[in-house]
Amino acid sequence: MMLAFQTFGALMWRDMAVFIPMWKDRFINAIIWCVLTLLIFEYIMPQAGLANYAVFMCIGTAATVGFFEVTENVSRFIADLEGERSLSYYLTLPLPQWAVFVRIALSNALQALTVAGCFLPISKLLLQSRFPLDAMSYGKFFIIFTLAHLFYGFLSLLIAVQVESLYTMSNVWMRFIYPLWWLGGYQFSWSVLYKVNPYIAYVNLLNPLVWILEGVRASILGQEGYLPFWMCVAVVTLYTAIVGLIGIRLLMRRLDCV
Amino acid sequence: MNKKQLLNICGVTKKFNDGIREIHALKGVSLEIYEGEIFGLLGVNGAGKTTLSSIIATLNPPTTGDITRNGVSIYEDVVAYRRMIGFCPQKPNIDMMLTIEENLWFTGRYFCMSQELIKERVAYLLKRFGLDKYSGSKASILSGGYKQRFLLARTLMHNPQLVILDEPTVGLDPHVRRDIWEVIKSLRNDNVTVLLTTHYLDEAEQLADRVCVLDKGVIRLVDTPENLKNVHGQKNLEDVFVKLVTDCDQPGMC
Repeated sequence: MMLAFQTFGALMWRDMAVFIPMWKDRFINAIIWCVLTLLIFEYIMPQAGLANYAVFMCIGTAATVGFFEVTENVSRFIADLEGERSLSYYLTLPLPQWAVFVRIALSNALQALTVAGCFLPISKLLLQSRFPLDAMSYGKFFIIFTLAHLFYGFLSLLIAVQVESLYTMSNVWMRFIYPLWWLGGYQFSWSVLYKVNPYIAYVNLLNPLVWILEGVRASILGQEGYLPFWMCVAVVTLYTAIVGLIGIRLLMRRLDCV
Repeated sequence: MNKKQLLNICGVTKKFNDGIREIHALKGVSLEIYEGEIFGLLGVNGAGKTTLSSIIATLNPPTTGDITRNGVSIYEDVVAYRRMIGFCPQKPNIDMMLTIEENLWFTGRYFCMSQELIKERVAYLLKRFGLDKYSGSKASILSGGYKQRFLLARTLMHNPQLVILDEPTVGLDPHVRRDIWEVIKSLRNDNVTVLLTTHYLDEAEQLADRVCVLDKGVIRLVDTPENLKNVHGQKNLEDVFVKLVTDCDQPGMC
């Protein structure tokens, strides 16, 4: 068992060794996204009557940037299956085959986390005192942020099962990523939706992104106006477990694993 | 030849569903593989050779049947079993994100080898397979022959007891084939068991201690190449194979 853990560790190490040279590019992408968000919501939208919205949007962006990595993770996975199939090598290594999929999810999570983690410091740097952190709980933020990225990592596996080839990758964007994100509360809090229509708001609680965004905002801006933080943690944990179990099970079936 | 049994394959079947119909790739394959032998698995395309080698490599499970080692199913402790095997698949499944040297280095880590041993093995294998000039290059730049050499080097990195080679010389130039044959022969001297899947009969005749002819998922025979030639009165293994397959194509012959 100990040796299987060592193999698992070596695989994670391999993934990070491959990722580190690419980190600079991903960091630049993160800066571009962050600057654009701030530019629009700090300087342009107030002219349209939407003031004090930049911080809210920055936090939403930080929480969901990892979600957009899901498309890339799925593309990479499918491209490998259609091309070199290096996965088939990893599936013969001395560790249980399910652990190979857990490793893919964890690597995805870790990589997205290192990029998304830059968003808040960059936003704070750019907004200075206009981004108050008085109500922020660093411990809570760490918990929900890590959980969110674990969820994204395992979600990549579940979505990968549904994708037959690279030609159908656009379906991932339009059928999974876009609806979940658009309805997930990136631009509005759950309480705002509740005021508009309580029934839709309750149905929207099925969307895991709602809990992630509410949890991240509650950890930075304070609990008031958002869903209870610990309930967000519980729901995101549950979603991660369910998505992980189903995703790995279906992938093992699709790839005819031992 | 040492006759100690390494693996016992008992009644292995494999069914696939290609979305239209059910395919019976293996129909109750049973055979024994002995320690230190080179065992040739022969058959035409679609005979079930790759399916069987993938099952022995634990990449895919059998539909029914079992593989035992020392009387115990390999699936009881599949992780321990995988530590003793090296699998070289037909299609190069190389990690293209790493250099050749890094690929070998990480293989050593995956099999929990010590740093010193990894260093030693990487240097030896790079030299042995003529890969040293490409050590810092990504695998994507390698030609087919060099990719195959690399796959063999990676397979041997952790000194496996059982090496499963699935069509290791397919599409290679004759001199590269010969070079790979020498490597396979040298494994016999190190008492490594080799399961060699091939449809090149000269290759099997040159290398294998015993051969197994697989046809449409069924074992037609298992014997030494010499015995087969004597029994069937043929000059070479290719003639034996053609005779067997032709006989089996006639109704009531198999």
